[in-house]
Amino acid sequence: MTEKNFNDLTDEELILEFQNNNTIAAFEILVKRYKNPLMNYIFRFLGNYESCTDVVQETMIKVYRYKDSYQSIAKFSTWIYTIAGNLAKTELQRQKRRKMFSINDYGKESNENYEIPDDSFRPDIETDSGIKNEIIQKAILKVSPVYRQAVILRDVQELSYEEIAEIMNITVGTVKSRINRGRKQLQKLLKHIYKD
Amino acid sequence: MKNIDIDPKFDGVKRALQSLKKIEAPLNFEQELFDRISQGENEKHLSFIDKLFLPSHLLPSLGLAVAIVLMFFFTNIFIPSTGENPLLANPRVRTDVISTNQSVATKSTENNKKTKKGNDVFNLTEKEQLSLSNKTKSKTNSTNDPNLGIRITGRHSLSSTYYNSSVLTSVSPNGFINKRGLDYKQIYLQKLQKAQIEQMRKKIEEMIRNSER
Repeated sequence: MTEKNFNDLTDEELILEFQNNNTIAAFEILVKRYKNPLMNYIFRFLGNYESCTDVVQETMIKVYRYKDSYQSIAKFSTWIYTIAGNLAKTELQRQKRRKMFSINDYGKESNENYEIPDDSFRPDIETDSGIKNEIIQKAILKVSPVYRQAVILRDVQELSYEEIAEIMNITVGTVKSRINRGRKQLQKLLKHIYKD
Repeated sequence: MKNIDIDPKFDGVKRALQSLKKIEAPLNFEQELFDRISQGENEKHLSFIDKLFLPSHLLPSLGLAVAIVLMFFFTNIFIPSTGENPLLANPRVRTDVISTNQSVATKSTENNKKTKKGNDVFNLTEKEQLSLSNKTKSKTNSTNDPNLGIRITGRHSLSSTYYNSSVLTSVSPNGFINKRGLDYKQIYLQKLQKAQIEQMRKKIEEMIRNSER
């Protein structure tokens, strides 16, 4: 089968081909299809491009290594989003720990209060839309991770409630509740933007 | 539950989130990904033995081996071995030669049986043993303690070396030495040998006297 033919296959058919015949071309097409949506999802969740790239690559490596653990009863997209989400949460925890340690160390040595510098607002290089993007991203990062994930999957990735429920391993009702709470928190944080 | 998607109060938030710039993967994303995969594959193919002999893995195992050798070396130097030190060990009791009074009876009867066939020499020595023991008993008055004496049973050869028949082995008020538990044998010399030794003793005494002068 040529690469052109592989492009016509669904995600589930491609992973099946990769599972059965170890066809790297099928895996490559899956990577092409999912690299940008996953980058978008993980970047909005973590807020750091380098960490995001690392997490998405790690997700692809996991798909490659553990391809046999995928069961065809589930949608491939929910499987890969679940892997990426779990890795992103782990990375977030690691970042939090690292930040905590560095701040604690600073305080111990110098006996001074330390404020984390905010480099996000750069009017000299950012356009209006860029600034707006940054403000929204900062607001997203302030929302608690549980609600943040649900809101991103719904409003940024535009997935269905059922898909989100499967990815987060919760009921559809809980998904809706979390999205609602997440949106409320965001609304508070972005009040000044809606005035325009 | 109210349909949250048609709730107009969150329209602003939804619009804001949907208007966010789409993030794209870096240009070398796939190349880096396949590099990482192939790197991981290479690591996976290395067996445990191969990993053990990698230079980075060799150092700890080598260090461990050296540490074990050193520990073995030092523990053997500073901790005395369980083996018997010939300088500190007690001398072996020659049970074939010496026996206590209790076992004398059984042994002597055995020997009697063995030697009854015509060994006159043994009969003679047994008589001597009896007479000697009677003499020593009367001298030391220590007849009540059976463990005091050692009796030499039998005679090993017909040469001039043979064993004392009955000897007191405790320090008695009369100056006798208790020889219980000692591994010794008493040699009886012939008259010629005794005379030679006596001559040597006299010569040594003379030499000592001369040197003192």
